[in-house]
Amino acid sequence: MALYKYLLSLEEKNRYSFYLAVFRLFVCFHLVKTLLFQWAYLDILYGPRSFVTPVPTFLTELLGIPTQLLRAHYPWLITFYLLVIMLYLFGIGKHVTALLLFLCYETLQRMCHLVLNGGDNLMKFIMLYMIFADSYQYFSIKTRPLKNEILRRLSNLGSNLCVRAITLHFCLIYFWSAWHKIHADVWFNGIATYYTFSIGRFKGTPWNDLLARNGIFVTVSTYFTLLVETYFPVLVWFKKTRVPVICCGIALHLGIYIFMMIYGFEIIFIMTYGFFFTDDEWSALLHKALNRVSRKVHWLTPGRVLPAALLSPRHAAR
Amino acid sequence: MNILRPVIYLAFVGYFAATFLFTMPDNYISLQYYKQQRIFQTWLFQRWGFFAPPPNYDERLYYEFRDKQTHQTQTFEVLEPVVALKQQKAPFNWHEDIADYLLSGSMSGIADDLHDIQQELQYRHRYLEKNAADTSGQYMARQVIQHGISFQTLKNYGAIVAGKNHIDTARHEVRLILTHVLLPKFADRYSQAPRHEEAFFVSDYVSLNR
Repeated sequence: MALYKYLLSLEEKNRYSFYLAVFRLFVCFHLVKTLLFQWAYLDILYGPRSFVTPVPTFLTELLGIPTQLLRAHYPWLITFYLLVIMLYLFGIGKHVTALLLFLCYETLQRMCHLVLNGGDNLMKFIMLYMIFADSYQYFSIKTRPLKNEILRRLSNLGSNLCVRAITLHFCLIYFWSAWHKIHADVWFNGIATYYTFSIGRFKGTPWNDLLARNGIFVTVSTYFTLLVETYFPVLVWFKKTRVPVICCGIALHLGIYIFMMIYGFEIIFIMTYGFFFTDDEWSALLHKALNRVSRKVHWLTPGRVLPAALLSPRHAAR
Repeated sequence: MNILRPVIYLAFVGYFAATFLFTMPDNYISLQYYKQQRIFQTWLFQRWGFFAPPPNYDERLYYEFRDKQTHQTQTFEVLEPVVALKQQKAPFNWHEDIADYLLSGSMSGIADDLHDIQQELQYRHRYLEKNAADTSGQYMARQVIQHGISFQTLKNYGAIVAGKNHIDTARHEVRLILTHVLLPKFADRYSQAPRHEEAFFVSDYVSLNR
């Protein structure tokens, strides 16, 4: 009965409207950034005369669009992709735009799978789930709520289930990753980070060699990684342990970002942590942060305080 | 809503049950659904065993160009300079990162295919009770790899390497040598001995023309 009540409550309100909108913006900026970084290489990655051997794009082939045709006209595909990103950024076209963006992203991923990593893989699934979510209540051109009761309930359910799908999938990733690691001797014996820090491809700083030779650092960092990945899927669901375990996760991903030069992947993972907090929790957090800023400003310029409207969390969120 | 609700929840639970089943490591239950797993992975590819285990080597990719008439050879290694530049330019190394992913990704593709073929060959040898001296399998493995997309990508890149080094692609043929330079074991981390390098794939000489 309690479960049924909980499931019904998912239709009452979109509990993650703020972070869904934030993540929508992040998706757009991340995709544009990736495209800009690839700009000089677009012909190699997606062009018809590239040295990279083409692989059939599964979805478009099913729709009757040959991969060779896409490659021959790839500048049009990229232009369309950029246009869809812009529409999604401003919340125009909503779910239809989200679907188009997912299809474009999936097609581009399949056109050149060599440059992908786990972050791109996770991003694909998040974008798939976000097709069903209402991420347009903030930072969007049109934010009018739905008037039809059934559509409104359906929209709320879709949004809440989308976030639940993202968080569940995220926990599944950590769980299976930890499961695979425990099976490997170097992780079990606490020396795995010696190898990850020493491989040339991932040697992000001149200090990697020094750290990799330090037995204590290697043991602690290896077991820290294992502990975070093993316990995150459990501890993140309890209010008391959520923030500490997310802080550990952020520390882990920042470490990989700096020392292993895996950039996009880590940013995507860190940004995904935001889905573990509801609108109310974000609102309280922003309120607290703004209060602190207000006190600081007051201290710097005596006699002046931030306007009351700025301290309203809803205003801050918008 | 009363009709939609159960449909939505059933789809949600079913999807995650399938995701859980088809992403788990190979075991008795998951292998019972091997065909379904292949279909699932075609649509929703995912693999989450990050660095489990991490590689214990650096990769090297050699192009050995041979003059068709004189049989003189020239060898170039292409991956080490890319990795060195990637390290130097971090964190502003997106150009080197793409080059590294293209080359290393293709090398990993070959290594994975080679591993799968060898596993199958071992199974067949055991099944047919062949002796260890039979090398027809190795020849077959090399042919399969050389017709794969990863090898074709690296071979095509060979034409660029040739161009940069002023090698006439019509007069030369190329052989690809893929190696692993092993890291010393953790216990030998202070060792000054040169690192051991072993080739895991050596191709036939192939034409550079596409």
